[in-house]
Amino acid sequence: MSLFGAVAEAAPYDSVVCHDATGERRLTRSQFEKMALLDRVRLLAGGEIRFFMGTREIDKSVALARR
Amino acid sequence: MSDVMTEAAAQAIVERADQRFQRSRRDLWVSMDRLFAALMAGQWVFGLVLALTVSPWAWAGRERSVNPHVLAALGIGTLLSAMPIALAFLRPGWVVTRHVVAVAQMLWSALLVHLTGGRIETHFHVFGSLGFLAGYRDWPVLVTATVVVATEHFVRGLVWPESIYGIVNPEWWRFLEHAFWVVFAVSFLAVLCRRGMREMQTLAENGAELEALAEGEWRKSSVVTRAAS
Repeated sequence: MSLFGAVAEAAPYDSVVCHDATGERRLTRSQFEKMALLDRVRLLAGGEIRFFMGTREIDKSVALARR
Repeated sequence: MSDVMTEAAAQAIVERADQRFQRSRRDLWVSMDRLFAALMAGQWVFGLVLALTVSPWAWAGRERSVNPHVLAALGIGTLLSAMPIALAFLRPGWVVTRHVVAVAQMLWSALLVHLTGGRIETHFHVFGSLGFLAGYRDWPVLVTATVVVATEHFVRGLVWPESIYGIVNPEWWRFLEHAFWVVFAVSFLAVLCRRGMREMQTLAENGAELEALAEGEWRKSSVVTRAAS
């Protein structure tokens, strides 16, 4: 946990799986959140992304709303 | 689903997020400018009260008349308050406005310290003011305030030390000790400023993500509806 990271730790997902031009990729939450906003928005608007906590899939709206 | 449409929608969503962030940042700066305008007016009144009540006692034996302090509070105080108040109403949210506010606020600390005869407790006004200025969440404003207060302490310490430290012959480096504590406070406040601004940006980005999600779901349902009909 970083010095000011306590709030971010509460996010309800730890990885995302996304499909784009390069194929399927699995990213950690940190990698996803460090992507440029435009890239994140492209994935979400394109509907080509799924959120996971471990192996359990999390509803997208729940994953994003609780960040 | 058309990639061109998705790209256009994504661009529009990001643009709206940026507009939301810019708007909330500007709203914050405008409201802080207005708050400081009220504070400047309050300090002007407070300075006059100090000049009429505390100054004659604080400077007993040195100044027989209350008039110079009342004139200082009235004249210098009016000058210090007038500019930030005018800018807060004429150019709220402007970068220059908040830096002028920072300069005026630090000089108000100097005037109040002088009016109380260099009373050390009045120096707390500096630290309270730095906390207020941090409300802008714009760390360069704190740098301006630090430079002003350090310079003012250095110059007045050389020219008229009694009016700032309450003693006639302080060490020449006394201003460095005061400046150190200011830097101590500002270094942490600056981190909080950056963090606060980042949180505002994150809020705007979270809104964009939810908007993009809704867009994606709407498109998916439209495709399903069209396929079913």
